[in-house]
Amino acid sequence: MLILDHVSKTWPSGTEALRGIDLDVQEGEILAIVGGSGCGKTTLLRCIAGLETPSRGRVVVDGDVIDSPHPAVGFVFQEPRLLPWLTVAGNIGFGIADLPKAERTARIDRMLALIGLSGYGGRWPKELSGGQAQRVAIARALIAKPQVILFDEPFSALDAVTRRQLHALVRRLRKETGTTMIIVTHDVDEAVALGDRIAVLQPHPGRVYRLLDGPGAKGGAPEAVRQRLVTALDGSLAEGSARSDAASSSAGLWW
Amino acid sequence: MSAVSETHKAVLEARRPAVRRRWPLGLLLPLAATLLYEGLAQAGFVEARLLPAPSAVFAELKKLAANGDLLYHTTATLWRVLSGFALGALAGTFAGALTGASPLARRLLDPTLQALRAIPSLAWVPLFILWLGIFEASKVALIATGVFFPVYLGVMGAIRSVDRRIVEVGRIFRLSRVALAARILLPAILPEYVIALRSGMGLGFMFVVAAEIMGASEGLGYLLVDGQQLGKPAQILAAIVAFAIVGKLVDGAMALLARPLLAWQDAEAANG
Ligand SMILES: Nc1ncnc2c1ncn2[C@@H]1O[C@H](COP(=O)(O)OP(=O)(O)OP(=O)(O)O)[C@@H](O)[C@H]1O
Ligand SMILES: [Mg+2]
Repeated sequence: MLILDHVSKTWPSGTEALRGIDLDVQEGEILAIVGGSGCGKTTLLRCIAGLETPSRGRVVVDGDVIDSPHPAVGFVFQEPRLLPWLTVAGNIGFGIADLPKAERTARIDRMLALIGLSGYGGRWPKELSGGQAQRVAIARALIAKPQVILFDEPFSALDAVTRRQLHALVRRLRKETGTTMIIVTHDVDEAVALGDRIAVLQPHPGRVYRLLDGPGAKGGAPEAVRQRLVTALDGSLAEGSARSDAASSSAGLWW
Repeated sequence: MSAVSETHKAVLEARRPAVRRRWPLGLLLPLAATLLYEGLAQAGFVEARLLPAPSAVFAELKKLAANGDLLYHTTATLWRVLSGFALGALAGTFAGALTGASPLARRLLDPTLQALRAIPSLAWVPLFILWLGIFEASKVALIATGVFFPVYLGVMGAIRSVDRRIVEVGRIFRLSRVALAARILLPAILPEYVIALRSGMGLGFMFVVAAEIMGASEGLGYLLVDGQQLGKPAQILAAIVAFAIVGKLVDGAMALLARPLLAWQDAEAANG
């Protein structure tokens, strides 16, 4: 479905953000990506979305090599990034403006129901809570019926309760729409709660350190997965700091 | 799902009644001052020959309105302001959009425009008269010059400060350049654009006075000069009052026109 074929990215500044990322994401799967700050998670997602071009390697979605934003790939950013001058309904329908009005309205209504915000269509983004706004952002990505949705730390700004609700929403949306999802997160529990598989990245340069199975037949109980994930994460960070000491690179200053 | 479309219903519900009509407190001070002054004038404390009482100014206004002079001169002034505004705002919008969107254009044009801006605009008057004659063209050119700069600066600043993260939303949905401009840039800069246009209009009124004082046979500015030459302070004050009212009305009309487009700004933010 989605193939990352040796994706590498070196910024013009010389920072090597990604080196040789190989991943094969299955249709309908949720892949969680975890890793320390600055290990290239955002860069990787932006390459998949066609917002950046890999320096080497390629991203293939459904047979198409991605070199610019692609209709099959949706994006949910860390902040909702709603357009303040459009109502909730207008924001959700932003990407399907060229559909006939009746169909557009019907799809927006279905999305509102799906994200549990029926009746909110006429509100302005200002009038939403952070969790509601992020739901709208998810609906805006989903309504265009992409095959993959990329999430870049989508819930990191939300409180724990809201976050759990949105985890449930994401799982439900995947079940009901079968959309493939890649979710970058800093949060071990989030990765365990959502990931069918969990990729742990190591920094300097970003590479896949471990690829774990999520809870289930292969991965076992959530607690066991969590344990393995924490161990892997610690290992990846140790690996990264050893390398960055050696390279004493200028990386990590960007944010 | 209900028969009535959810979004449509919601849109109908969401339109809250316009802001509650409150007593315009701002009128209190000028009214009180007028009454006080009228009282002092009636009591003979001020020299009515130089500073006529409000009642005299009002009578003068009524007279000018009755014989059609007020309408005639107001129309002349308004026409000049609006022509100059149209030209200046159009040029300012284009130049601002260009320098705002293209760093190259900005490096090329902005220093020159900023240097021109530093020249007090009235300094252009002799040149405009030399080039364009003493009639309408030079006046409109002067007003357009005054309107140009606030609009130019406003548009350039607004475009430069558009949140790049929101532009990226447009990229994700593969908007063309035109669609990006129409669906993201334009609405994003609209609030600042309206402010720029309104301050441009304000300068337009400033410059129309200058233009009409430097020589005109009609317009509110002509009434000023005429009143001075004939020693009719009531007429001067009447013209000033007319300027204030027309300026305020035009600004109010602009705000009112923009209001439906900016309704989203009035919404209360959710829990901070
Ligand atoms: N536009 C850019 N120009 C130059 N360097 C960049 C750019 N974006 C990111 N980098 C560098 O690339 C590396 C990876 O950054 P990236 O933002 O992908 O990390 P991340 O894993 O998303 O971090 P975080 O968890 O803090 O969001 C960092 O060293 C960063 O400094
Ligand atoms: Mg990141």
